[in-house]
Amino acid sequence: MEYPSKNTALILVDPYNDFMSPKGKAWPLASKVTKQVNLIEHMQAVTKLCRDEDWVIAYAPHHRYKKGSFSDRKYLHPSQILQKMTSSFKANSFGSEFYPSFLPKEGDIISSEHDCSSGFTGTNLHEQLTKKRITHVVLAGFLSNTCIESTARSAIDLGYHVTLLDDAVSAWTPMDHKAAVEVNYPLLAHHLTNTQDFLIGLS
Amino acid sequence: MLNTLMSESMKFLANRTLKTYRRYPANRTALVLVDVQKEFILPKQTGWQAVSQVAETVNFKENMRSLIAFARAQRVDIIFVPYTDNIKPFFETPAHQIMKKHIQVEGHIAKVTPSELLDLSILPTEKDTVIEDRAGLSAFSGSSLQQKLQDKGIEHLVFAGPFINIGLDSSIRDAVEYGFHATLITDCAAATSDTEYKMAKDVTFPRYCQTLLSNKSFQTQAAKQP
Repeated sequence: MEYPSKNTALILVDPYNDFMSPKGKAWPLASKVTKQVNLIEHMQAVTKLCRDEDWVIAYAPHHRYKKGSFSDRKYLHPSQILQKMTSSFKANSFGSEFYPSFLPKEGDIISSEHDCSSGFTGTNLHEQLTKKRITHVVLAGFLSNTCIESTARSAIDLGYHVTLLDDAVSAWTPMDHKAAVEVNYPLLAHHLTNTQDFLIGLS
Repeated sequence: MLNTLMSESMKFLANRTLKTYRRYPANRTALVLVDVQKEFILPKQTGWQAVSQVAETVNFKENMRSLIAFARAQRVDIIFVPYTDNIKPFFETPAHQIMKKHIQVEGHIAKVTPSELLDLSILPTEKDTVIEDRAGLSAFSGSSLQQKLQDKGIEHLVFAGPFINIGLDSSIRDAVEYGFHATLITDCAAATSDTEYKMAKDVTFPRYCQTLLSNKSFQTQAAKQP
């Protein structure tokens, strides 16, 4: 797979401490698959190579919870109910800071926060990618079957070429991860691969 | 093991809230039928044959006939959102290719032979709303669907269709994101394989679709409403 380097972006979805740090609130849930697929190391390798290739790096961050979040919504997304219960990704807290290996650099795109699952819905991510003439996106981060898959589905309907890396995404349970990467990704991705093959292909 | 237990506990707690959404007043409810069109319903069509194994296992057609008859009796809006040849992505996914392979360029209003009459009740009639401007896998993609629903004051969307992990999945994710209460009627859905159907229904959908009900349970629930 050859990518148009000036028109391709790596989108990091929700690389928050709450997901990635052993001190994070969602770590007990996410850690099993995260360790199984070696997610952090894979995301680091992918991000480094994409930066070396001068690709656009984009961040699609989840809503940072604060008092009154979602009060304007009559029907909550199941993830919003859980976020209210647990205050995950609480604004101005350790949990909603980006994991230290994935701190943004000057020139990166930082999208406005997504309230539910898709990094595109209700955010300025599409607008920012369009300004940089991005046509191809590669997704990595959390969670395989919710935010990653929803972002991929939105990206497809918005006309992007979508690459999914089956070991640079993680989920709460191995079954959630399997349902996404083994059943749905093969139907959705324009290019479905793993980190090693992706890195070899790029370098 | 621990994370699976925690995951199930979280689902259980979320369900306490989600159960309160299960109200279906007729004037604020719409039945949204995604990809319910002759190419995927009539027996001689390759599109039906692609999903027929799962569809027959869940009794898809009989349940669809019952669901549509119930919606008509309750005066619930029925909106068909077919997959049309207007959907022409620059980058095609395998999902697009599956759908494209089976669709025809003629309209989506049923013209059936006498032997197919039973299936007519599942297909749109001249009186039904048919959204023809869908541009992607999701029924909302580039289409007038969201605006039409908002104009009518619809809050509860009840979904059914033959492709649980293609059109239904993308559409229901969007519906929930846009603030609707989404319900999937699980035995009015199918897929090209049993694995796809089960993984979608049992694993993926409960993470984002607020309500999953069988046709019978939905009708019992909806009949309680004023």
